[in-house]
Amino acid sequence: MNLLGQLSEILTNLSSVKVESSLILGAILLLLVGLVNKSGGLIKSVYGLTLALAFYLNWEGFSIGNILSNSLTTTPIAQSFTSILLLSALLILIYTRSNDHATEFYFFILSILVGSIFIMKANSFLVAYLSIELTSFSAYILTNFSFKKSGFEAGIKYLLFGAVSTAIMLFGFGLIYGSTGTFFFSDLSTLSGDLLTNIGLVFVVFGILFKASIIPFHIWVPSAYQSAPNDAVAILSIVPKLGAFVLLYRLVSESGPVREMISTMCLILGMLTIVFGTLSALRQTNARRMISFGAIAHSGFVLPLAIMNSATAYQAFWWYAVVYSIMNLAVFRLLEEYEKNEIFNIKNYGGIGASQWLLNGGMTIILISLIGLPPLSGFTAKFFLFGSLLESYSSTDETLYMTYLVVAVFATVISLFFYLKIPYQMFLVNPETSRTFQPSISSKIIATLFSIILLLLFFVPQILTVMQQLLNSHLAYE
Amino acid sequence: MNIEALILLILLLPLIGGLSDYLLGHSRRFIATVFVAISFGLTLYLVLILENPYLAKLEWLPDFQIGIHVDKPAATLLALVAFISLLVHLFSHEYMKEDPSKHRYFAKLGFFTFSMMGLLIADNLILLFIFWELVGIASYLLIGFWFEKEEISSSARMAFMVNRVADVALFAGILMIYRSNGSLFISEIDRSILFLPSLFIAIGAFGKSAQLPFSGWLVKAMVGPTPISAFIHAATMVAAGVYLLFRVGPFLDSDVLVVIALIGVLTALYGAISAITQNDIKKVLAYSTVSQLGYMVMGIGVGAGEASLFHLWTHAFFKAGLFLGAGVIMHHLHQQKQFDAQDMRFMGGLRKKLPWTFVVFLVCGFALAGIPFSSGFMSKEGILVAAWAWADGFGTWAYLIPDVALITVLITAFYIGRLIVLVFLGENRSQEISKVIVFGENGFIKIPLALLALGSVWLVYNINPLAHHSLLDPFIGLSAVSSDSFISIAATGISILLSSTGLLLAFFFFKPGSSFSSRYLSSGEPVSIGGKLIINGLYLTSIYRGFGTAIFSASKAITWIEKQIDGFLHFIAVGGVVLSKVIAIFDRLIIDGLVNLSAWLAGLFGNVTRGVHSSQSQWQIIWLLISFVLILIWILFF
Amino acid sequence: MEYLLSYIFLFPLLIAAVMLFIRSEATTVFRRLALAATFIQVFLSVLLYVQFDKSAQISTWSGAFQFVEKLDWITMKLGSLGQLNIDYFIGVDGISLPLVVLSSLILMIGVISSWKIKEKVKGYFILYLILSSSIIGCFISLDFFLFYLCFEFMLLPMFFLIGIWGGKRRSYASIKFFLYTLLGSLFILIVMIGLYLSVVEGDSNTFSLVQMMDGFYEEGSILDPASRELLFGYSARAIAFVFLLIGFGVKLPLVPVHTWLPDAHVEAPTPISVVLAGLLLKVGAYGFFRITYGIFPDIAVEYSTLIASLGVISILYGGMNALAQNDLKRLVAYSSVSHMGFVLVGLAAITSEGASGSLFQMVSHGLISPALFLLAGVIYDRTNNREIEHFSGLASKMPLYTFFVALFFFAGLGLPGLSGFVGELIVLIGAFKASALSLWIGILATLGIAISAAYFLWTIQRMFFGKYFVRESAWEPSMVDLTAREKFMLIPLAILVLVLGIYPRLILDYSEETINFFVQHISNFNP
Repeated sequence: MNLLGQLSEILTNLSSVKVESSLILGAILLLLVGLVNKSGGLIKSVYGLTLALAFYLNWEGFSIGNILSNSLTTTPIAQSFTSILLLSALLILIYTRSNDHATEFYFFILSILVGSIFIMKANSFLVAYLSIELTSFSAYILTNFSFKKSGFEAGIKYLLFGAVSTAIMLFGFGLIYGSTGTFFFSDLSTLSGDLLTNIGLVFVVFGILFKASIIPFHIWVPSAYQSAPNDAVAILSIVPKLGAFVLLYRLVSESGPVREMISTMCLILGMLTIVFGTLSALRQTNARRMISFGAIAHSGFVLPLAIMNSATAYQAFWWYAVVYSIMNLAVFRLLEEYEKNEIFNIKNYGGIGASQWLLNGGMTIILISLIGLPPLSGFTAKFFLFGSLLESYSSTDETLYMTYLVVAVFATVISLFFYLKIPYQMFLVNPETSRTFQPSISSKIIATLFSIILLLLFFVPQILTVMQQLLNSHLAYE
Repeated sequence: MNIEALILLILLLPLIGGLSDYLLGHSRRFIATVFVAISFGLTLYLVLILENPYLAKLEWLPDFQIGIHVDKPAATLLALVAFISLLVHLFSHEYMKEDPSKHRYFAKLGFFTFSMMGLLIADNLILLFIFWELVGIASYLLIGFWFEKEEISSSARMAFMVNRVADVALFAGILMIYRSNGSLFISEIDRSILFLPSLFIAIGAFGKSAQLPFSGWLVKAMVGPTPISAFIHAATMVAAGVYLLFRVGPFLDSDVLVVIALIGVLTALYGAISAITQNDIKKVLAYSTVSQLGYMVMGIGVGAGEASLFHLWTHAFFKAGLFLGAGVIMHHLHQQKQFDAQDMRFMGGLRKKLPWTFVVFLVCGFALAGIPFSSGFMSKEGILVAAWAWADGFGTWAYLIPDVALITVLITAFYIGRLIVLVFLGENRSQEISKVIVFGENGFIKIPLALLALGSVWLVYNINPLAHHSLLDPFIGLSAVSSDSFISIAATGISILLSSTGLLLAFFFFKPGSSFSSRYLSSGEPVSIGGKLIINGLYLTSIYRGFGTAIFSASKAITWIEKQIDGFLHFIAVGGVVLSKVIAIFDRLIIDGLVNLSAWLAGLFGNVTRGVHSSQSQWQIIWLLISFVLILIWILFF
Repeated sequence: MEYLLSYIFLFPLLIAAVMLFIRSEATTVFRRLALAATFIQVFLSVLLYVQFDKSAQISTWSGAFQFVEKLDWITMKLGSLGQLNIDYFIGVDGISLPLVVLSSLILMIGVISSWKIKEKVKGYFILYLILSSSIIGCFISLDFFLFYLCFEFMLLPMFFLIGIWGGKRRSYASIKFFLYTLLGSLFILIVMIGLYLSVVEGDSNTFSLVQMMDGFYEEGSILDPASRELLFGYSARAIAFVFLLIGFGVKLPLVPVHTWLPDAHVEAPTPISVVLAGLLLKVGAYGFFRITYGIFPDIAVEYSTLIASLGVISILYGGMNALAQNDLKRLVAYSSVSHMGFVLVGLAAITSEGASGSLFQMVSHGLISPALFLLAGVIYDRTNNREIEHFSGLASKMPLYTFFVALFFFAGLGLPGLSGFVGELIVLIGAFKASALSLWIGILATLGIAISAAYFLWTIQRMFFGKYFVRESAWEPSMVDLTAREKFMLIPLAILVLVLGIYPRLILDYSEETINFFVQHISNFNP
């Protein structure tokens, strides 16, 4: 193919990467505006408009298939998950953020977004690698945005970890390429499953699991979550994670004969994640750290959905991702409010319940949704998870699914213990010292709104399905 | 008047009367008494008009009927209960005059009467059990009437609990009959009841009729108001067991019948022996009831249900007479704070103060002793003769039963003779008695006593004073007791001999001024083991108490188990926490330990350009790589 | 009224929503509103009771329900499972009708009993009304998902009601309660999903309890009785049955998973104890009826001895524990364990007597135990103390109180003429009649009535008889007899206990058809 042909192909395919392009352009614009005008409002509006535009472009849809010399592949799942990522990114505007370094902050968020969206669409190993690195590097920097020593440490740790993981992943790509000559995920189905390719694949999966904070690749999570600013944490706990899960989903669905090996490995690691995440959360005294471990456990809950590869699991995956994003956005936002009032440790929550029931009630509802109790959508998400597991079990007779179910159920009970610590302190414990606690109106409104959303999604779960169908309906199939 | 309404009225009038007395409050009212009197009148009318047994069924639960069955025996017993109840009501008006809770008393009494009457007409065993329980609870309420006293309330509870234990057996027995026979109507039972249910039914009857080993409660129940004791001992409560056995006796398993006869005669002996040494007048009478009930139960066991029922009837009169008489005596002595108003050792000479009572005691006491020309003689002879005849057809060992029964006759005459001598003859042995305001033998007292004494003479039942049955038997629907003529004569002779000997012995031992008597009066409580056993009625109540304590200890032990269950669950919960701690330790020791080691090593080699924390990260990455290699190995080689 | 059942179900929720917008200082408004709401609920359920057609013949479960309302609630395309159909599907039959009526009554009494709540009144009544709706919802749901929603949703209000308004160790008790029941309900959740995957209506899977009871299984599905799927080497249906046994057993409560109950009862405020004992335990028992036995009759038949033994153990074990208690409320709590054991024995008998006895026992216990907790609350209100040994001779000081205590104690110990006896009687008739059960099950269960007499009478003797005495002289002025409000709560219960004791057909006539069909349905699976 000549240069002209390539160029014209790029031009025709450009419409399929319009979301990413708009985000990149927006990011550049953001930097420019930041140079000229440091007012937070303007920067936030540029950021918001960029995301809105990207969301619109994503909504508009694109054609499905391999593009740009097979380096990218567009899929319905990528489109629908992209909208989650964009909306989550948009919603971090509800967090309070001073004008200091606002430009840089939102710029890095946009780059994380771009990276994560490319992760979901990557077909070529190179793109996958590059996009993961893009996300990682932006994330390292974001971790430091609190400008505290602890943040710096956590960022470094994260960086080192990430470096090792991506190195392993790169090694994996190398192994696969070396033994088979293929450079594309879409060719994985033709792999024979010899030792070298298997090792290569496992290495690749490790790299992905690192982003998804699955044990034993989770070590960076708690300290990173604890020291980063809340809005960054919300993004870190949603965007790269979901991107990684989508990549894993595609990897598993396209990996052909070696699929079983990967899924077995993932299932076992997932169970370990649930167990370790839940048990570790149990002994935390710091609220944010506890919720971070909870988030690790949640990764364990999502993991099987990404690899089960059934239509039910696909739905449940989408569902869990959306609800998980909503819950995380909300919980970290409210944590921010509490932390602003010097409430860091779980003990500090003692007796504040009655004074501010709108905020505290909202927090309670969100936490209960994180546990997964009805009538909140956290339950529906878990319900779909259990349903998919049981269905997979009955269709494959693989006991691992059943075991996973049992582990998940017990972990739910245990998660009650730690998530409930906060409402318990709020409402059931008398405060040692009376504290004046004046949350902002916006926090109260946010608490109420998110509670309503979580309730609404339980009672009318169709919303999400319909939303997904609507999104996908704009896609053009060739 | 149609018969349903009649029966319903008979049943409900006492209840309604009692309730209205209760609701109307403290003032001195007679509604209950009047209503019981009407009820009694109606029972007489019922007895007269009842030709054929009256049967009625009602579907109480879906597919489950209950029913009543009123035949002549039931109707006459209704009349008996109503009559005794009426007398007790009358008597109580005087006896309970001062009590502030009199209205509560009459309500409970009405309830008691109602329950007992219901029991008599119940045909279905479940309905019978219902009234059986109501009788139990009514007795609990009445025995514990003066609940402020710790001892009284605990006695009431013991009485109820002992009954309840037996009731469990009865209930299970009834339900087992349902399982095997399919019908619970007494009038429809057509085949023999299996061994186990028969035994359970018998145990239930033993409980209510105070047979061994349940006899203890009846003596405990003495703490209630005396008219209540009279009522319990005469016509209600204890009669229930005998009545139940009378009803189902013919269908019981033959082995169980032998058990019943044996328990009956042993109880008769036990009660009589225990009665000998009692100092408390009410206890003598209580043990005598136990003993007499033993006769009745034995009668059922030897197949002489009619005789037992006859004895139940005569016993009702003379025992009610004795108890009400004892009530008069106690009330008479009541203001004496210095001594126990029930202790016979402080009595004596009361014939002068209480002549009516004395006469009543003589007549009723003779009836109890079984002296000819008394009702008690006739009815007891019936049982004795039947027992003898039964043993005759059974084999040598079976003679044990009539023999023991005859010995008991002697003892019975002895203890009742002793009682009369100690209480009424001689001079009063307490100094203060003369100063006491005499409790009047007024109409409320005299009429009931007189009627009861009258009911204890032979002429009411039969012209022939030596007959063993009542002339009324055919009228009330019972067949006369038939017996071999030789046995009949022999038994009569021996029995007359024994009872008169007993009376005479009592007189000689305890007559005022005799050396034995003065020794007895100055003696304290018995010290020998045998004596203690006898005066305490084989310590049955202590055994119950021990049993109760054992159960309670068991319950404590079970709460211990409960704690362990809780502890176990806690252990699991704690286990989770410990596991999380272990993970924490793992985190600290292994990962951080390696880190620290590395820091230390680093320090050792002077290579401290990096901070500790970055080396920590290094080590964590190494840890990551180790686990990563482990997974790899596992994936590839397993 | 077309949507009568929905009104009964959702009306408290509506009022709770209204309450959200009322200033929290207006405490009396909340009380009155709650009372009005529950009163209307009682009125509506009486209407329901009157309109119920008790003679309707039943031949399938789908025809067994009256006042049925069915609306599409959630319809989602769900991949290979086809459609996810969750319906708003409610109705009552002879089993749930008495429980609905009972619930509304007890909930109203609970509100009256809550009059004394002084702190955080707004939150209290909102939670209380939410609890009300979910309890009623449990009894009328015909869609498993809806049932599960209500079942699970009782936990949270309960957690806070115990945890905020409870006694000294309230936080321990509330967490224990929450944890136990949550664990139990997750077992149920698994079975629910399994059933959903196995049962079909038309060509799509369904949550309809009716379809599940009627046994429309998808061929070869995991819980299809015909396909005998194995799970870890055991029959999948048996495992599901055991899961349900644990799940509902926790609520019932079944020894040995009952230990949350005494703590929860002791720490809960009086009205919550009332609701807990009167209704929440019934939800567990109802689950046994509707789901454990209704959907798994084949396993139920197989395991009847096991179930009956568990019931007998509960009866004896609970009774023995009650005997050793010094705290009046704890004693009543253990008596609940004992009495609910009869429900299991009756069910295990699989005779129409046994089943209707169970149901009757549920209702009877639902009247007696609330009254007992109210009575325990009376003494606690006055002295902040419930130790039996701290009181004596109360009968002379508080005769009316003593009267009610005695009445309900007698009802509890199974005195004929009061409803407790009838329940136990019918259960025992059923148990003795059942050929599947050993005679000894019945005999041992009968022993329970002696034990209950022992602890109740002993309590009466210790607290009410003897010389008047209270431990602290400071209590003296408050030792007054029942107030009008207390009488107002106790008298209806007393009347009902008496009326049902004499004329049990007030309930049994309504449940007869359903129970007969229920038993017949199960005994079809008799080997």
